[in-house]
Amino acid sequence: MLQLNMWLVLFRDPQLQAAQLLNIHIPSLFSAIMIANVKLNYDVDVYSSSTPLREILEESWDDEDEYKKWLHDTRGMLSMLMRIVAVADPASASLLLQNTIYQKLSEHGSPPPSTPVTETSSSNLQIESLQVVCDNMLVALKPDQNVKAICEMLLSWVPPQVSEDNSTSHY
Amino acid sequence: MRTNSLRSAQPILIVRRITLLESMRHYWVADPSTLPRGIEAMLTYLTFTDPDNALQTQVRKKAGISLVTVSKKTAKLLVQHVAQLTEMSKTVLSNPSITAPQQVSERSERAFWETRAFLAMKCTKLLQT
Repeated sequence: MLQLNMWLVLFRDPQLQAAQLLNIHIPSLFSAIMIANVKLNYDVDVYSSSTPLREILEESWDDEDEYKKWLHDTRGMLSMLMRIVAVADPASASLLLQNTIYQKLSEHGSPPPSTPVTETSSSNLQIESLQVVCDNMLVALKPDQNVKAICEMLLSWVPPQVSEDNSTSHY
Repeated sequence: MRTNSLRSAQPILIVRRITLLESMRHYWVADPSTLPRGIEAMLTYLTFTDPDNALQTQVRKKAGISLVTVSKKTAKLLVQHVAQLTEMSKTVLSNPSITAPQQVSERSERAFWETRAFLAMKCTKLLQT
Protein backbone atom coordinates (compact mmCIF):
# COMPACT_ATOMS: atom_id res chain seq x y z
CA MET A 1 0.00 0.00 0.00
CA LEU A 2 2.87 2.32 0.85
CA GLN A 3 4.38 1.59 -2.52
CA LEU A 4 1.17 2.43 -4.28
CA ASN A 5 1.04 5.66 -2.33
CA MET A 6 4.57 6.47 -3.39
CA TRP A 7 3.77 5.87 -7.04
CA LEU A 8 0.72 8.07 -6.73
CA VAL A 9 2.81 10.90 -5.33
CA LEU A 10 5.40 10.45 -8.05
CA PHE A 11 2.86 10.38 -10.86
CA ARG A 12 1.19 13.49 -9.54
CA ASP A 13 4.42 15.45 -9.48
CA PRO A 14 4.05 17.99 -12.30
CA GLN A 15 7.77 18.24 -12.96
CA LEU A 16 8.29 14.50 -13.26
CA GLN A 17 5.24 14.33 -15.50
CA ALA A 18 6.52 17.06 -17.75
CA ALA A 19 9.84 15.31 -18.17
CA GLN A 20 8.05 11.95 -18.72
CA LEU A 21 10.64 10.24 -16.56
CA LEU A 22 8.20 7.76 -15.11
CA ASN A 23 6.79 6.40 -18.32
CA ILE A 24 9.53 3.82 -18.79
CA HIS A 25 8.54 2.25 -15.47
CA ILE A 26 4.90 1.81 -16.40
CA PRO A 27 5.25 -1.73 -17.86
CA SER A 28 7.08 -3.15 -14.84
CA LEU A 29 4.78 -1.32 -12.43
CA PHE A 30 1.78 -2.66 -14.28
CA SER A 31 2.95 -6.27 -14.27
CA ALA A 32 3.81 -6.05 -10.56
CA ILE A 33 0.35 -4.67 -9.83
CA MET A 34 -1.35 -7.40 -11.82
CA ILE A 35 0.41 -10.05 -9.77
CA ALA A 36 -0.23 -8.37 -6.43
CA ASN A 37 -3.81 -7.39 -7.14
CA VAL A 38 -5.15 -10.95 -7.17
CA LYS A 39 -7.33 -11.43 -4.12
CA LEU A 40 -6.09 -14.04 -1.67
CA ASN A 41 -8.16 -17.07 -0.97
CA TYR A 42 -7.69 -16.40 2.71
CA ASP A 43 -8.55 -19.78 4.17
CA VAL A 44 -6.38 -21.69 1.75
CA ASP A 45 -3.50 -19.31 1.14
CA VAL A 46 -3.00 -18.09 4.67
CA TYR A 47 -4.19 -20.82 6.97
CA SER A 48 -3.34 -24.00 5.16
CA SER A 49 -0.76 -23.40 2.47
CA SER A 50 2.75 -24.74 2.75
CA THR A 51 4.54 -21.95 0.90
CA PRO A 52 7.37 -20.07 2.62
CA LEU A 53 5.27 -16.92 2.27
CA ARG A 54 2.63 -18.26 4.60
CA GLU A 55 4.17 -16.85 7.75
CA ILE A 56 4.50 -13.39 6.28
CA LEU A 57 0.92 -13.52 5.10
CA GLU A 58 -0.28 -14.70 8.48
CA GLU A 59 1.57 -11.92 10.25
CA SER A 60 0.32 -9.25 7.86
CA TRP A 61 -3.32 -9.24 8.87
CA ASP A 62 -5.11 -10.18 12.09
CA ASP A 63 -7.93 -11.97 10.36
CA GLU A 64 -9.89 -12.13 7.14
CA ASP A 65 -11.93 -9.01 7.93
CA GLU A 66 -8.75 -7.06 8.45
CA TYR A 67 -7.49 -8.34 5.11
CA LYS A 68 -10.71 -7.32 3.36
CA LYS A 69 -10.49 -3.85 4.80
CA TRP A 70 -6.89 -3.56 3.68
CA LEU A 71 -7.79 -4.83 0.20
CA HIS A 72 -10.58 -2.30 -0.02
CA ASP A 73 -8.23 0.58 0.79
CA THR A 74 -5.56 -0.71 -1.53
CA ARG A 75 -7.95 -1.04 -4.43
CA GLY A 76 -9.19 2.47 -3.87
CA MET A 77 -5.68 3.70 -4.20
CA LEU A 78 -5.02 1.43 -7.15
CA SER A 79 -8.01 2.79 -9.03
CA MET A 80 -6.64 6.29 -8.67
CA LEU A 81 -3.19 5.20 -9.81
CA MET A 82 -4.62 3.40 -12.83
CA ARG A 83 -6.42 6.53 -13.98
CA ILE A 84 -3.29 8.58 -13.63
CA VAL A 85 -1.21 6.00 -15.50
CA ALA A 86 -3.75 5.90 -18.31
CA VAL A 87 -3.58 9.66 -18.63
CA ALA A 88 0.22 9.75 -18.39
CA ASP A 89 0.89 7.31 -21.20
CA PRO A 90 -2.31 6.25 -23.00
CA ALA A 91 -0.60 4.34 -25.80
CA SER A 92 1.38 1.91 -23.68
CA ALA A 93 -1.38 1.74 -21.06
CA SER A 94 -3.95 0.52 -23.56
CA LEU A 95 -1.51 -1.99 -25.04
CA LEU A 96 -0.61 -3.31 -21.59
CA LEU A 97 -4.26 -3.59 -20.66
CA GLN A 98 -5.05 -5.46 -23.85
CA ASN A 99 -2.19 -7.90 -23.32
CA THR A 100 -3.13 -8.49 -19.70
CA ILE A 101 -6.78 -9.15 -20.46
CA TYR A 102 -5.84 -11.44 -23.33
CA GLN A 103 -3.42 -13.35 -21.15
CA LYS A 104 -5.81 -13.72 -18.21
CA LEU A 105 -8.74 -14.73 -20.39
CA SER A 106 -6.74 -17.30 -22.34
CA GLU A 107 -5.22 -18.75 -19.19
CA HIS A 108 -8.23 -18.66 -16.91
CA GLY A 109 -11.22 -17.86 -19.11
CA SER A 110 -12.11 -21.40 -20.04
CA PRO A 111 -11.44 -23.77 -17.18
CA PRO A 112 -11.90 -27.47 -17.92
CA PRO A 113 -15.33 -28.86 -17.01
CA SER A 114 -13.77 -31.20 -14.46
CA THR A 115 -12.76 -28.30 -12.19
CA PRO A 116 -15.83 -26.46 -10.92
CA VAL A 117 -15.46 -22.71 -10.66
CA THR A 118 -16.50 -21.28 -7.31
CA GLU A 119 -16.05 -17.89 -5.68
CA THR A 120 -12.61 -18.95 -4.49
CA SER A 121 -11.31 -20.66 -7.64
CA SER A 122 -8.25 -19.19 -9.20
CA SER A 123 -10.04 -18.45 -12.51
CA ASN A 124 -12.56 -16.33 -10.67
CA LEU A 125 -9.97 -14.55 -8.55
CA GLN A 126 -7.66 -13.93 -11.48
CA ILE A 127 -10.36 -12.48 -13.70
CA GLU A 128 -11.80 -10.54 -10.77
CA SER A 129 -8.46 -8.79 -10.35
CA LEU A 130 -8.91 -7.33 -13.84
CA GLN A 131 -12.01 -5.37 -12.91
CA VAL A 132 -10.49 -2.51 -10.93
CA VAL A 133 -7.76 -2.02 -13.48
CA CYS A 134 -9.96 -2.33 -16.55
CA ASP A 135 -12.75 -0.09 -15.31
CA ASN A 136 -10.51 2.71 -14.12
CA MET A 137 -8.19 2.67 -17.10
CA LEU A 138 -11.08 2.84 -19.53
CA VAL A 139 -12.40 5.93 -17.79
CA ALA A 140 -9.24 7.76 -18.74
CA LEU A 141 -8.23 6.05 -21.99
CA LYS A 142 -8.99 7.52 -25.37
CA PRO A 143 -10.60 4.93 -27.61
CA ASP A 144 -8.02 3.42 -29.95
CA GLN A 145 -7.27 0.15 -31.71
CA ASN A 146 -6.26 -1.60 -28.51
CA VAL A 147 -9.41 -0.62 -26.66
CA LYS A 148 -11.43 -1.80 -29.62
CA ALA A 149 -9.59 -5.12 -29.49
CA ILE A 150 -10.38 -5.39 -25.76
CA CYS A 151 -14.06 -4.83 -26.51
CA GLU A 152 -14.07 -7.49 -29.22
CA MET A 153 -12.25 -9.87 -26.91
CA LEU A 154 -14.80 -9.44 -24.13
CA LEU A 155 -17.74 -9.76 -26.47
CA SER A 156 -16.42 -12.95 -28.00
CA TRP A 157 -15.41 -14.51 -24.69
CA VAL A 158 -18.22 -16.76 -23.59
CA PRO A 159 -17.60 -18.76 -20.42
CA PRO A 160 -17.65 -22.46 -21.28
CA GLN A 161 -20.88 -24.39 -21.17
CA VAL A 162 -20.77 -27.31 -18.83
CA SER A 163 -23.37 -29.76 -19.97
CA GLU A 164 -25.14 -32.31 -17.85
CA ASP A 165 -23.60 -35.12 -19.91
CA ASN A 166 -20.11 -33.84 -19.29
CA SER A 167 -20.62 -33.55 -15.59
CA THR A 168 -21.89 -37.07 -15.20
CA SER A 169 -19.19 -38.56 -17.36
CA HIS A 170 -16.51 -37.15 -15.12
CA TYR A 171 -17.68 -38.91 -12.03
CA MET B 1 -24.82 -32.06 -5.19
CA ARG B 2 -21.71 -32.67 -7.24
CA THR B 3 -23.59 -32.14 -10.45
CA ASN B 4 -24.79 -28.80 -9.11
CA SER B 5 -21.38 -27.50 -8.23
CA LEU B 6 -20.01 -28.69 -11.54
CA ARG B 7 -22.75 -26.98 -13.52
CA SER B 8 -22.01 -23.80 -11.66
CA ALA B 9 -18.66 -23.59 -13.49
CA GLN B 10 -20.39 -21.10 -15.73
CA PRO B 11 -22.36 -18.53 -13.67
CA ILE B 12 -19.48 -17.07 -11.73
CA LEU B 13 -17.50 -16.44 -14.87
CA ILE B 14 -20.59 -14.97 -16.49
CA VAL B 15 -20.79 -12.43 -13.67
CA ARG B 16 -17.16 -11.58 -14.33
CA ARG B 17 -17.87 -11.19 -18.03
CA ILE B 18 -20.82 -8.87 -17.37
CA THR B 19 -18.71 -6.73 -15.04
CA LEU B 20 -15.95 -6.39 -17.59
CA LEU B 21 -18.48 -5.60 -20.30
CA GLU B 22 -19.96 -2.98 -18.01
CA SER B 23 -16.64 -1.16 -17.88
CA MET B 24 -16.67 -0.95 -21.67
CA ARG B 25 -19.35 1.74 -21.33
CA HIS B 26 -16.63 4.38 -21.32
CA TYR B 27 -15.51 3.15 -24.71
CA TRP B 28 -19.00 2.78 -26.16
CA VAL B 29 -19.67 6.45 -25.59
CA ALA B 30 -16.97 7.22 -28.14
CA ASP B 31 -17.48 4.28 -30.49
CA PRO B 32 -20.97 2.75 -30.27
CA SER B 33 -20.47 0.24 -33.10
CA THR B 34 -20.30 -2.74 -30.76
CA LEU B 35 -22.79 -1.36 -28.21
CA PRO B 36 -25.83 -3.32 -29.50
CA ARG B 37 -23.91 -6.59 -29.14
CA GLY B 38 -22.97 -5.73 -25.58
CA ILE B 39 -26.52 -4.78 -24.64
CA GLU B 40 -27.86 -7.93 -26.28
CA ALA B 41 -25.40 -10.09 -24.35
CA MET B 42 -26.52 -8.54 -21.07
CA LEU B 43 -30.22 -8.73 -21.95
CA THR B 44 -30.00 -12.44 -22.61
CA TYR B 45 -28.46 -12.97 -19.19
CA LEU B 46 -31.63 -11.51 -17.61
CA THR B 47 -33.29 -14.83 -18.35
CA PHE B 48 -30.33 -16.93 -17.33
CA THR B 49 -31.30 -20.20 -15.68
CA ASP B 50 -29.29 -22.43 -13.43
CA PRO B 51 -30.28 -25.24 -11.08
CA ASP B 52 -28.62 -23.34 -8.26
CA ASN B 53 -31.07 -20.61 -7.32
CA ALA B 54 -28.53 -18.36 -5.60
CA LEU B 55 -26.24 -18.34 -8.61
CA GLN B 56 -29.14 -17.70 -10.95
CA THR B 57 -30.13 -14.66 -8.88
CA GLN B 58 -26.56 -13.45 -8.82
CA VAL B 59 -26.23 -13.52 -12.60
CA ARG B 60 -29.64 -11.92 -13.26
CA LYS B 61 -29.10 -9.24 -10.67
CA LYS B 62 -25.69 -8.39 -12.04
CA ALA B 63 -27.05 -8.31 -15.61
CA GLY B 64 -29.85 -5.96 -14.59
CA ILE B 65 -27.69 -3.60 -12.64
CA SER B 66 -25.03 -3.49 -15.35
CA LEU B 67 -27.68 -2.85 -17.97
CA VAL B 68 -28.85 0.21 -16.06
CA THR B 69 -25.29 1.41 -15.53
CA VAL B 70 -24.43 1.08 -19.21
CA SER B 71 -27.67 2.60 -20.46
CA LYS B 72 -27.35 5.58 -18.16
CA LYS B 73 -24.08 6.40 -19.84
CA THR B 74 -25.15 5.56 -23.38
CA ALA B 75 -28.83 6.55 -23.34
CA LYS B 76 -28.57 8.92 -26.30
CA LEU B 77 -26.87 6.28 -28.40
CA LEU B 78 -29.48 3.70 -27.53
CA VAL B 79 -32.36 5.88 -28.70
CA GLN B 80 -31.87 4.80 -32.31
CA HIS B 81 -32.14 1.17 -31.25
CA VAL B 82 -35.42 1.63 -29.37
CA ALA B 83 -37.35 -0.56 -31.79
CA GLN B 84 -34.82 -3.35 -31.45
CA LEU B 85 -34.77 -2.95 -27.69
CA THR B 86 -38.54 -3.18 -27.53
CA GLU B 87 -38.45 -6.40 -29.50
CA MET B 88 -35.78 -7.81 -27.23
CA SER B 89 -37.68 -6.71 -24.14
CA LYS B 90 -40.79 -8.49 -25.39
CA THR B 91 -38.80 -11.67 -25.81
CA VAL B 92 -37.21 -11.34 -22.40
CA LEU B 93 -40.42 -10.54 -20.59
CA SER B 94 -42.40 -13.28 -22.29
CA ASN B 95 -39.92 -15.76 -20.92
CA PRO B 96 -41.88 -17.85 -18.42
CA SER B 97 -39.08 -17.84 -15.88
CA ILE B 98 -39.13 -14.09 -15.51
CA THR B 99 -42.85 -13.37 -15.15
CA ALA B 100 -43.63 -15.98 -12.53
CA PRO B 101 -44.21 -14.38 -9.13
CA GLN B 102 -42.10 -15.64 -6.24
CA GLN B 103 -39.24 -16.00 -8.64
CA VAL B 104 -35.96 -14.37 -7.81
CA SER B 105 -35.97 -12.49 -11.09
CA GLU B 106 -37.94 -9.62 -9.58
CA ARG B 107 -34.96 -7.38 -9.06
CA SER B 108 -33.53 -7.88 -12.50
CA GLU B 109 -36.98 -7.31 -13.95
CA ARG B 110 -37.23 -4.06 -12.07
CA ALA B 111 -33.79 -3.06 -13.26
CA PHE B 112 -34.88 -3.85 -16.77
CA TRP B 113 -37.97 -1.67 -16.52
CA GLU B 114 -35.90 1.09 -15.01
CA THR B 115 -33.72 0.95 -18.09
CA ARG B 116 -36.73 1.14 -20.35
CA ALA B 117 -38.27 3.98 -18.39
CA PHE B 118 -34.99 5.84 -18.43
CA LEU B 119 -34.70 5.41 -22.18
CA ALA B 120 -38.28 6.57 -22.71
CA MET B 121 -37.58 9.64 -20.62
CA LYS B 122 -34.49 10.43 -22.66
CA CYS B 123 -36.45 9.93 -25.88
CA THR B 124 -39.12 12.39 -24.81
CA LYS B 125 -36.50 14.93 -23.86
CA LEU B 126 -34.80 14.56 -27.22
CA LEU B 127 -38.07 14.93 -29.08
CA GLN B 128 -38.85 18.10 -27.21
CA THR B 129 -35.58 19.73 -28.12
